[in-house]
Amino acid sequence: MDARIKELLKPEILNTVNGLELIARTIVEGFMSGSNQSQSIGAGQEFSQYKNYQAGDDLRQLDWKMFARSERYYIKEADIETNITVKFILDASHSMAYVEGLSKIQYAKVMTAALAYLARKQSDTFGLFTVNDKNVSVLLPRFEQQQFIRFLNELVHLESLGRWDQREETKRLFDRQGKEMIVFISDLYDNGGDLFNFLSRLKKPHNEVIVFHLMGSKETDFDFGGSYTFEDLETGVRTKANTLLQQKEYSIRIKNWLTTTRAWMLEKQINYQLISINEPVERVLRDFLTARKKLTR
Amino acid sequence: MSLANPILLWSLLGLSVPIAIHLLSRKDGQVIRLGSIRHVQETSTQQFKGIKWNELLLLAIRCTLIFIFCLFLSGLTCTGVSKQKWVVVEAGFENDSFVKPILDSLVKEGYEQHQLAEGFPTARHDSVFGGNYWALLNQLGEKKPANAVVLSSSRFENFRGKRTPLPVNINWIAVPVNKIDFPVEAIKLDDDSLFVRTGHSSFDQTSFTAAKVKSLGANSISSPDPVRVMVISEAKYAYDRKILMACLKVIQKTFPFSLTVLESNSATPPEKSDWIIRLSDFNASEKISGSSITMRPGSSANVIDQVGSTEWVFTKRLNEEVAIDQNLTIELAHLIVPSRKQHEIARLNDRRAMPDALIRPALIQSKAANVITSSASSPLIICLVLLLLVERIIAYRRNQ
Repeated sequence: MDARIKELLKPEILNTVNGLELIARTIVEGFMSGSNQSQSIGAGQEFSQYKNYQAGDDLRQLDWKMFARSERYYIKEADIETNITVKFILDASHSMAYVEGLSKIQYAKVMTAALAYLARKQSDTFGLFTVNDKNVSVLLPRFEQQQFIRFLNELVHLESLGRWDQREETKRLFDRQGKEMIVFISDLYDNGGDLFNFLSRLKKPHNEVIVFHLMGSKETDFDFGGSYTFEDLETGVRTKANTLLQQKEYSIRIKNWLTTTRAWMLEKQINYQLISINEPVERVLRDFLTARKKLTR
Repeated sequence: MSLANPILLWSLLGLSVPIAIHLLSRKDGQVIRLGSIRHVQETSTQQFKGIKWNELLLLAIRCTLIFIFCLFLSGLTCTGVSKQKWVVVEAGFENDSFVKPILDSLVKEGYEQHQLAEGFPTARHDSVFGGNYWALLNQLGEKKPANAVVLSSSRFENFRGKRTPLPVNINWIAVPVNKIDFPVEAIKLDDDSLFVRTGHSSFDQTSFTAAKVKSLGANSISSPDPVRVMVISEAKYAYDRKILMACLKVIQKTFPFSLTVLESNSATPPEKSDWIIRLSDFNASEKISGSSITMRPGSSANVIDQVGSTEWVFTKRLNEEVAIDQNLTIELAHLIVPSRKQHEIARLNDRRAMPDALIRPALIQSKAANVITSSASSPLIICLVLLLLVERIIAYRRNQ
């Protein structure tokens, strides 16, 4: 499977709607095959338990057959299966153009497409928000047949430009009441804490925020082996550095940053996932979903 | 500088290897785009420059190594111009009235005085010159002086062997010699008369005069060398014998020396003699002392031909016609009359000199006569080893 996906991860396939869909399907089908049947057969169909009737309970929920048998009032309860809304927010700033095999933005596209495919399969509504200071594109969550194609089309035409958007009005876009899951994919290179402010504002008690933090292994370990000129993708500032000399210090700084970030996310009750873009997308997603499944049980 | 194998200079293309490696591995210039450089600390410029200079130094050393190696392969030879100035004087002419002023002025000008002899010694080595001018000229050319003046008598007899082209940096000055007269021999003919032969030699010719004088004068008298000629003849060659005897008689009468002619019919000579002339078909098998002339008619143009170191033959039967046409008497006299001593005296007093035009032919001139060439292999190898050592040290320190 790895080899098949690897074969698909080419610009000419990635940059087409059909190609991206194919990749998403291949990834999802790959790790879904052999797993248990989907539990989402129908809302409120699955019996859960009986509860003694108490004054104020909805009489429509009373199980009259049970009353006939036992002469007791029971309220029949079932698993309430609601369709949740999944919002994908992609950091489309230029820093996501960092390449290590695949670029971060491409990796994010593949991940998003695969997760959206999964959401569609589970009859969830999903929307896409891509943000940079040049362009904020919004695809509101809808439950339509064409939604996935629109979603993929947006992804395909997504470009990493500029910086993270700091305008206040865009933040309002994501302020919505209601149960939703927000998947935020970024490299978390912010400017004066704007990303973290945004995230903290995003997190509400009733929603779930999952942050996929994309990092390259060389970027983490500073393993370039020699003296180079480094250019900041967003600011264009250049600096010369001998990677051999400061590899250790750099690693320590990055580790501290990651630890701080993780602690902050934990504190904000945000699900934080550090992803290495060198790892295959399907493995990352499988591991993530497996861990998530275990947590929900 | 010159190269023995210039075609091997193509190996200089090897220079492209370190340059290509340097350019390809030039990490300093490579730009890596990072999402953010907030965690990257700038390395000090000094340190960066140090690394850069180290790289450039290594590149330069490696290129030089290849360059030197190519020169070594191509067989580099260094050439330089000599600054030595020599004045070379023939032995015995140092105090000559013509040579002295020239010599003094040249020495003042910084010329080094050498003797025209084997090895060109600076001190007086020989008193009499006894060498070969062509050979010495060749040797002098090999010394590659910037300028050399040769003062020599240029005596004709000392130019022996193969002619050497005179390089432009060598000036050959022939020292003029006066005409001299010298006694060759004085032979007492009888009690009151002497046969005196006198030689006259100048730079252009040597001649001899012979006279019969009465007074002894200053001439030292030498007694004529006795020569014994044994004539062995057969009856078949009776006429030849007659002609021969007539010739010998003329020689006996004309030349101032004592000639004894003996005759015999036997195959083996009965007495010891200086010359044996055989007019017979018999060929002597045993070794005989002295020189011999035998009769062996052939088709030669000369009447007498030499066939061995001490053997001559009459190539024709002797008769009046042959004797007159072929100058038989003179030919015989050349052989029989002893003249070695006289030749030696004449040779020693011969003052004929080689004309300047012949010593210095206009066309045969070597151009780069004062250019010294030496192989540069050893210094190149030393450079190569030293550079290799330096390169290794720098490369090792860089990797530390």
